[in-house]
Amino acid sequence: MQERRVEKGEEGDGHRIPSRLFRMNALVNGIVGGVLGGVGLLVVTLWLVIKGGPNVGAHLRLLANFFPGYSVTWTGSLLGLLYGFAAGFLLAYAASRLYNFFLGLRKRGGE
Amino acid sequence: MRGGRVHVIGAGPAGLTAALRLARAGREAVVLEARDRVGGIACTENHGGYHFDMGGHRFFTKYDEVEEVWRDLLGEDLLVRSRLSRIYYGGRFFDYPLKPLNAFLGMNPWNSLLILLSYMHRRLRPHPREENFAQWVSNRFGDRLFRTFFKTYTEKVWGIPCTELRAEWAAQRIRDLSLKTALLSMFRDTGRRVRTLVDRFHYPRRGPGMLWEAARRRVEGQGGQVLLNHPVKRIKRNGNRLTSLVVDAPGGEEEIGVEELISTMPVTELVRRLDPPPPAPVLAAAEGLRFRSFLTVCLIVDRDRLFPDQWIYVHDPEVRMGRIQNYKNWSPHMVPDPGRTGLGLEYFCDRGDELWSMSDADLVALGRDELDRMGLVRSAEVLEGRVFRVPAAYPVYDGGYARRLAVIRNWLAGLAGFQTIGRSGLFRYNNMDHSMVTAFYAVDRLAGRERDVWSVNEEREYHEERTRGDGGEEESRLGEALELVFKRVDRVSLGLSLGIILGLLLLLATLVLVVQGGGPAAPVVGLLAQFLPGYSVSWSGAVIGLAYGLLFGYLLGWFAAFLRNAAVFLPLVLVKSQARRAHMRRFLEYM
Repeated sequence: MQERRVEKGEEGDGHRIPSRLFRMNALVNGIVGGVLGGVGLLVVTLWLVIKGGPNVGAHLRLLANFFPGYSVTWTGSLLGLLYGFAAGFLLAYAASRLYNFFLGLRKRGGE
Repeated sequence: MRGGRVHVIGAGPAGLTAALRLARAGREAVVLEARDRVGGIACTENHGGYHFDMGGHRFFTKYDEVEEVWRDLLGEDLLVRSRLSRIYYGGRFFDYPLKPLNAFLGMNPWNSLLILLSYMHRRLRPHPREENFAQWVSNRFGDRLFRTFFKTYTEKVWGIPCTELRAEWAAQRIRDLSLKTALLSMFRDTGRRVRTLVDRFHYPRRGPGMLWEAARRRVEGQGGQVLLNHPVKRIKRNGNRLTSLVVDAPGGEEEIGVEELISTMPVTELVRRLDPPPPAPVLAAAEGLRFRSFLTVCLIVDRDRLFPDQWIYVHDPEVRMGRIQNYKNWSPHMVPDPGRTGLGLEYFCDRGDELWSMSDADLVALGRDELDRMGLVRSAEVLEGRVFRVPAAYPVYDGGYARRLAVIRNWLAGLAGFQTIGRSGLFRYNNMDHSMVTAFYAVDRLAGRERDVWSVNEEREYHEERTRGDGGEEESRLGEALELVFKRVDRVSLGLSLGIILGLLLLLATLVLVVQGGGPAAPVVGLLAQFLPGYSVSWSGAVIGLAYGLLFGYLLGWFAAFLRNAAVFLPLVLVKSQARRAHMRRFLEYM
C-alpha cells in the first residue's frame, strides 16, 4: 500500500500520533468484496435449497431480475457465486478507486 | 590496526578507556594527566581514609560493553545499591524524581491551591513557543511549580536564568521513548526487556576512583604509560597535522612528538592551546562556550546515621548549596569509622567567581552553617572539613552553544590523526558510560572502522529501559507495520465513495426494473419507499434513489471511517499518555 501525508500529525512532547491517511488497495479490496459477495450468495442460496419447502427462495430468486439465469437451486448457487463475486468485486473495487480519487483531490486541495 | 604510539590527553573515564582499548589492541598508549590522580571529574578524593566521590556517580548503562569493563576491572568490588534520593525544599523532603502530586500535597493548602490554579492557567494558555527552559517547564507544570521546584535548583546548577537555558536541554533529557517505541513495546517479547537501575545501581566499593585506579594499573600492566602531573600546555601543529605536545612535566618543560592524538581536555582549552592558533572564528567560538564548575565541601560528622538518602537535592532558595552527598549511603566502605559520616556539600559555581574564590575555611564554615540552618546536622557535630574544586564539570547549553560548537567541530574535523572525546572534549552532557563509548569509537576509528564519536548520546534509546540483543531490524519492520495499521481512513473520501456507489446501485437497480416493465421484483424493491419517502420503481424514482443512495452512502462511509479511526486511535491515545508520563519521569530524574 502506498501512503500519502495529508495533514501534519499532532505534535507535542516529542511524540506524534501517526496521522497519515490510509490509501486503499483497490484490487485487494475488490477481491475481498468479490469473495464476500460470491461466497455470501452461494451460502445463502444453498441454505435455502437444503432447507427446502413449498416455495423455495421466494424473495431471493428475484435477484434473477439483475443476474440473468440465477435461481435458488444447486446450479443457481454456483451461478450466484460467480455473479456475487463479480458484483462484490466491482462494488468494492469502484468504491476503493473512488476513495483514493477523493483522497487525492483533498490532498491537492489541502496543499 | 596500525602500530605506533597513541597519545591521550586526560586520565578521566574517556582517556583511560581509550588507553585500555589501545592496550588491548596491542598499541602503546601514553596518557598525559594534568592532575596528580586519575578519574577526571569522576575521581574520588581521599582524606584520612574517608572517600569523597566528586559529584556522586551512579553506575548504570545500556551499553553491555561498558558494563563488561566495569565488571572486568572491579570484580567483586562492584556493589549493587538500592537508591534513595529526595528533594529538600522549605524544611520538607519531597520525592525524587519530583512527583507533581507529592509536591502538591506536601505544600500548605494555600500554596497547593495556587500551584493548581497556575497549572490550570498554563494548560489553558501555554506559551506558544518553547524556546527556553522556563517556558518548557511552565507549560508542563505551571508557573508556580516551576518557580518553586525547578527555577532555584536549575539556576543554582547552571548559574544562568532559566530563560537563557535552551529548551533543548530539557528535550534532550526526555527525548527517548517515542510513541513508536511505546507502541513497539506492546509487541515485544517482554522477557527481553530489562528494567535496569532506576531504583538500584552499581557502585564501586570505595567510589569511582577505585575503578579508574584499576584501569590505570591495567594500562600500565599492558605496556602503556599514565603520566600524572603532566599538563599539556601547547599543542603544536603544522597545517592540519599535529606535530608535538609541550608538557609541563615535573622535571621541566618537555616536548613530545605525536602522530596520533586523542584528547579529552575541555574542547575550549584544546582550541586555546593549539600552536599556531586556529582561525579567529574558531577561537571566538571557543571563547563563547562555557563550562560550569562546582566545589564540594566535604565534612566528617560525628554521627553514625544522618538520613537514608545517597544524595539530597537542595531546591530551597534559602541556602546556596545544590546537593548533599552522603557517601556512607553510597557504600559503607566510603568511611573508615562506622560511627561517623562523610558528607559532601556541593556548590555549583564558575571558575573564579565569589564561591570558587572563597577560602577553604570560609567554605567549610558556610557549609556547617547551612546544614545547621536546614536542621540536618548541628554545627558542633562537624569534626573537620575539606574543600575540593572541580572545574569545567558541566557544559552549559546556553542560547548560542550549538552554533559555536559546530564551528569548532567543523574545524577540528580537518585535523589529521586527531580526535576529541569525553564529556568536556565533546562539550556534551554525557554520563560516564557515554564518555567511555566515545573512547571505544575513537579507538575503532584508529583501526579504520566507521564511527562517529559525536553520535554517542544522541540516539533515541534510553538507559533506563533497554533491550538486550540486536532488535534493530525487527523494530524497523514492526515500525513500518505500525505505520500502516495506524493510518487514518479519510472520512469524507470514504463517505463520498460509498455514497456514489450506493446511489448508482439504487439508480441502476431501479432502472433495470423499469426497463423490464416491473415484474415480481418491483413490489419488493418498491418497499424501500417505507424508508425513502418519495422513492418508487419508476424513472423519477430512480433519480430519487440516486439522491438517497448518495446521502445514506455518504453518512454510512463517514461514520464507518469515524468509528474505525476511533477504535484504532483510542488505545493509541492511552499509549501516548503513558509515554508522556514516562518522559516526564525521565526528565524529572535528571533535575
